[in-house]
Amino acid sequence: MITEQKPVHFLLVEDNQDHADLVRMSLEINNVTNTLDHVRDGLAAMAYLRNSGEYGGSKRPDVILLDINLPKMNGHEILEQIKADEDLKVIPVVVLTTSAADADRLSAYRSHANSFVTKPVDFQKFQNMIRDLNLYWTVWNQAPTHSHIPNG
Amino acid sequence: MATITSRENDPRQAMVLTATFCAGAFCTILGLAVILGWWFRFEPLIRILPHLAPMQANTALGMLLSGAGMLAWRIGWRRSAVGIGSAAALLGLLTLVEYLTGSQLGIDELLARDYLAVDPGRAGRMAPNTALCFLLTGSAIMLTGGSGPSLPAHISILSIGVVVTLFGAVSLFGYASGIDTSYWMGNLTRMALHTSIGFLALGGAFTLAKSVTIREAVEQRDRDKALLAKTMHELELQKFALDEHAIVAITDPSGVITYVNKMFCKVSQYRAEELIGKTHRVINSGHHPREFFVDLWRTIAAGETWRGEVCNRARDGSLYWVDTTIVPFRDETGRITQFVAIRADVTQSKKIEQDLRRANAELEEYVRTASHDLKAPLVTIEGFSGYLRHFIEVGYSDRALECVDRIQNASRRLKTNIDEMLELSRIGRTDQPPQAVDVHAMLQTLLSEFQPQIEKADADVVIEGGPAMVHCDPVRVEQILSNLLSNALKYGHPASGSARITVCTRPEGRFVRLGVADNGPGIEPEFRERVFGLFQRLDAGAQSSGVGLNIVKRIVEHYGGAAWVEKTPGGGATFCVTLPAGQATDTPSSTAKRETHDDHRAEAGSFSAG
Repeated sequence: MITEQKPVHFLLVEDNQDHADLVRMSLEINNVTNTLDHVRDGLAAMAYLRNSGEYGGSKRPDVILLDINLPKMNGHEILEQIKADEDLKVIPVVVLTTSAADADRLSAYRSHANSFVTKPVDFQKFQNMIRDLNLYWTVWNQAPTHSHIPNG
Repeated sequence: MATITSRENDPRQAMVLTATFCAGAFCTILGLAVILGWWFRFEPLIRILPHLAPMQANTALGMLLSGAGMLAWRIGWRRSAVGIGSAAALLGLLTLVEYLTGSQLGIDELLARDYLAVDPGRAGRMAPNTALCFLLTGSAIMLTGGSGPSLPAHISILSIGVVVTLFGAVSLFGYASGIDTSYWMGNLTRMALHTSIGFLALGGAFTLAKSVTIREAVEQRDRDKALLAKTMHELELQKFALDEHAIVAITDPSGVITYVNKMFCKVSQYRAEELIGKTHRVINSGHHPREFFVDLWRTIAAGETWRGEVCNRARDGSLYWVDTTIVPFRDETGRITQFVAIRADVTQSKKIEQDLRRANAELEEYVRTASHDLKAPLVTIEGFSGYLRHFIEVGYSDRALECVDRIQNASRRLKTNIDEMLELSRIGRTDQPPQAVDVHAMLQTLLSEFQPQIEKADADVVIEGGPAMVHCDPVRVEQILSNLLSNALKYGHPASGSARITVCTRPEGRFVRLGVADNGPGIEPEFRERVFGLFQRLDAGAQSSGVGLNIVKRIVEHYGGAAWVEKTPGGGATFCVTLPAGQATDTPSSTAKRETHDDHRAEAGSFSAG
């Protein structure tokens, strides 16, 4: 049984405010104990992860929710940078996108995305994914070094 | 030596055939008749008239042999001709030997007793000139039957024919002029009258036959020469045609260039002297891997033709593509003596191919991003619909209304996106023919339309420069101007202070350059290209579809101009476009404009198509 629930800290990289609110609302409705920071583009995401610039005191996220179509630096580029970084590459990355194109899928796996989720046209599916993520982190919170996220 | 063909159709050959046949038949019959004359002692046959010299029986035999030999030659019995001819020659030779050595070989009265003999020591012996004539005639017959149709043989036979004819003619002349009493002439005219007529016939036949043959041989040689000259000329013309069309080079077996044509020099921009003595490495572009040339060499060294498309580098460093065929030339022994390379410049079609590929890639990217941007509002609608149901179920009406707002906004955005995409797809299908448009006047009109946005943005807009005519569809020009203005008003705000937007026009070659400068945050160099890409937004929060600047770029490029971003002196971004300059009266044709496209893009070096 779960005795103590530490809040899971999410970093959401998403340029579309509506989609960001969807994620936020879903976490809220499912009573996921969490904290969530939201950045709008790739440069900001990298600055957040590296605690640089205006994100000097940022908290290291437990999970990164990453949109693929982003301004300035697209999701693939961010993913490559994260996975090339010895320190950051252990953080699980869930790629969120509206595109189900195979090219995107393959490219995301090549850059070792931990999970790849087509943005839910199906509301329930998205909720399940968030719940799964939350459950996963409730159980495995103590050992964030070995990362595998079940596909939502 | 050319062989003579189509004897049947040649009237001269027919004449020769008739003449030689008649001469042969005449001499055969003559010889036979005289021999019979001797046997039956019928003097009119032996000497024709009582006071004339008799034809000896041996002479008659010689005449018979010569005539038969000629007939055999004409019929084509070559071996018989050689046999008969040698018999006649032997008869003449032996008789001459008798004369020269003063001996008696016992051949003189072989066929008949010479009952008419004046000198018993030489009874039945033919005259020495007759003997010589038989030696010559016999030899000639041997020659016709023996050796092949070689020119020396023809000439020898002709010479013999002439000599024999002369002997016959001189003798006949002696009879005709009646000077047979003189010793020398008398000696000559000891040849019987009909003997001399026989020799005249034999010699004449040979002379005629061989002069015709030699003449034909000479004519044939002239025809061959003319044919050769004609062939050479045609070859020259073909080479000229090839040179006009193709890039031609010849190399030795090791690949060293020995010949290049003008087209090669024109396309590669090297002079012939710079290429001859070198290998094709001079024009190697480095585009192809080593294996490419290894395969090429393996093919041609094996004596096979190689075909392929090769990318070469011209002197100025530019690349060109050639469709290449390399043919190895071999000598009689099969050794490769040279390689001939014939190439056609296919740079243009390669370029079209590449453009097409790029256009396809662009289209693919367009579809991909378009589907993403159309889907984004749908995801929002779908997602908030779910929450809407949830909030209605749990009775939170405030939150339910919030969801409805979100759904409505997303629906509106979806509609806008679709409208913009349709607008984008219309570019290129020009709805109005280009005409002279005054950008300056249009800007003034637009400013009043933009007044609400300008006031809202608290911006100061300045238009610099006088009238500037461009040659475009006015609707498109308005689209460019309003998109650039709207872009500057949305993103051109400085962190502090009020926005200042400066629009200026100035002529630039055959184009008019339009610049919209703001004093906002500016655009970092690495994003200056991306900003024109379809659905590209640099500011995540802004309400923008990322289509406007792409529309600008597409319109401008459609007219052969360019679009790019510069840094505004003092900070900010300046969006620049060039459009073809137009005058109210004299407008350049659309083809002329197209030609300027590449030049101009090269000038606007800062711009690069994605």
